Amino acid sequence: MLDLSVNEIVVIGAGQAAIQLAHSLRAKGYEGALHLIGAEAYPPYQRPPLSKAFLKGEMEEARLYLKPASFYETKNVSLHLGTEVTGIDRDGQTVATKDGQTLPYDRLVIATGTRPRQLPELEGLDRVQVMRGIDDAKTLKDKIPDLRHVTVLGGGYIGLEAAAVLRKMGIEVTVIERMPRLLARVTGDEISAYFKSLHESHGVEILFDAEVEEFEHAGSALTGIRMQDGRVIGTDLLLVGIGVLPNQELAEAAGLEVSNGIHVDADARTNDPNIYAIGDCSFRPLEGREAPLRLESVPNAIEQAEIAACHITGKPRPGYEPPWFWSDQYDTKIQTAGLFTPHTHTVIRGDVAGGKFAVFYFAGDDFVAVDAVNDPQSFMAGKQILKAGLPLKATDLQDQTVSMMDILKSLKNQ
Amino acid sequence: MTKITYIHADGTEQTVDAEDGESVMEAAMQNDIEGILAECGGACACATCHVYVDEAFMDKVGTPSDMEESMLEFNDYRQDNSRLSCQIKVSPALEGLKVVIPESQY
Repeated sequence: MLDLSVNEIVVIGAGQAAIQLAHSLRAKGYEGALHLIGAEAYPPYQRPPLSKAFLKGEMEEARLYLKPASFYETKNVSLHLGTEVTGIDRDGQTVATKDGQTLPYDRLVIATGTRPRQLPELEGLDRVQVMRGIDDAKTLKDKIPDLRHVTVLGGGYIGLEAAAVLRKMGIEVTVIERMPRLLARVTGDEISAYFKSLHESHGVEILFDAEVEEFEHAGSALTGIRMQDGRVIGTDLLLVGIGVLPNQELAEAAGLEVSNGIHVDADARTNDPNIYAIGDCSFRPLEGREAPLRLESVPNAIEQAEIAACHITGKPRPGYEPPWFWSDQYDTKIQTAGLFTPHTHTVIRGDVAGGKFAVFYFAGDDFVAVDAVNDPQSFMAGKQILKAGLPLKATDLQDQTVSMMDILKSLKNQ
Repeated sequence: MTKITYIHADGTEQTVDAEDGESVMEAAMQNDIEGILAECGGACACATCHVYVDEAFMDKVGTPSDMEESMLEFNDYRQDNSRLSCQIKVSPALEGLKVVIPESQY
């Protein structure tokens, strides 16, 4: 049942989760006031293209926007852009902004996302760039004509996507990775090895087990990176991609439970029944996993927005969605469903050398995730198997002459 | 500008002026057409912008890539005229294109 006493909903944040929530609330019949408060100057936009098509110059800014301007009028959504929230008053049920507004709420949704982790010794230095928002991408894009060499700190998805774009433009790229493999936090050894050879075949230099001794600078301009082994990497720009931190300070200051993200339950609700947290900033439970976790992805933002919208409007909670993700680098597309950790063994199908294959991860007898490289069949089948909880066994995958479609069909008929 | 008509599962129609060069999915997003989710934003990674193309336009929209074909293969609502709308580029040749939105994208 739609709770008719709810007439004021305030959303802190104006990213993918926030706009999906606004969309879903209206679609589910909520007719009260709806405020989206965004710190950035831009209306809700897509972040994934920033390190891909937008950086390449193949996608103009307006096409990043998730909704047309008319949406906010016709759906009566108040968009407060360039507006910083300074505090949440849980007793008075209000939100205060830096420009002096006080917005009352019946339900508050925190969708503040994350910010790039930065090293203290890099603060204030020029020629150092992170990649999170449109402004970051624009700054990097504008500098491209002057760049001969870029150093990417951190071999994660964002850094590698940017490395691929820059390399394609003829810029030399060195990636500094502390771990012995790329993407160590998000995927297994086989995929790491594939992306290593992919990037190296395009001429990217990758340093593994690499520790920075010192960032060298002339005045405030970074000039090079001295490694612990004594090598100095002269560079025009350092792109820092060493992970993100949840924007949870407002929640913490308001006394909400936080750790690695804002703690929420299966309905995306915090320990205050009037306050929800969704998207990258939330620390959430996931079906089939003992411990909650924080997921950084568009599908997670969309899913949790839908969950919160259902709870606020008294609709049943949507069914289980396995986490999923994608990345594009050069001509390679990787699609992931499920979570690879923890796992005990893997099964590989397809042609690794030919760049069309999938890694299926198992924890004991349980299928837990698939990483599919240029192999949408394995991704789609794996995602559907996880969603429906079908009992895929490692032995089902052994005969590679049996297609993923046939494997899926036989599991459905069991 | 090229006119494209989106027909919802309940039969209601919405006609929009699409910009040449954008995709049929993007035109839907820019006009807030319900039912085309496009979770991946046009990367051919999610298959949530599925539409049925009016038979009269099947030749004009071209054929799906292997990647798109594989994504569609796993869609329960797949028909012969199924396409992912993020993979159809708007051009004057598509003037009057009609696409039907399936009842579900999952």
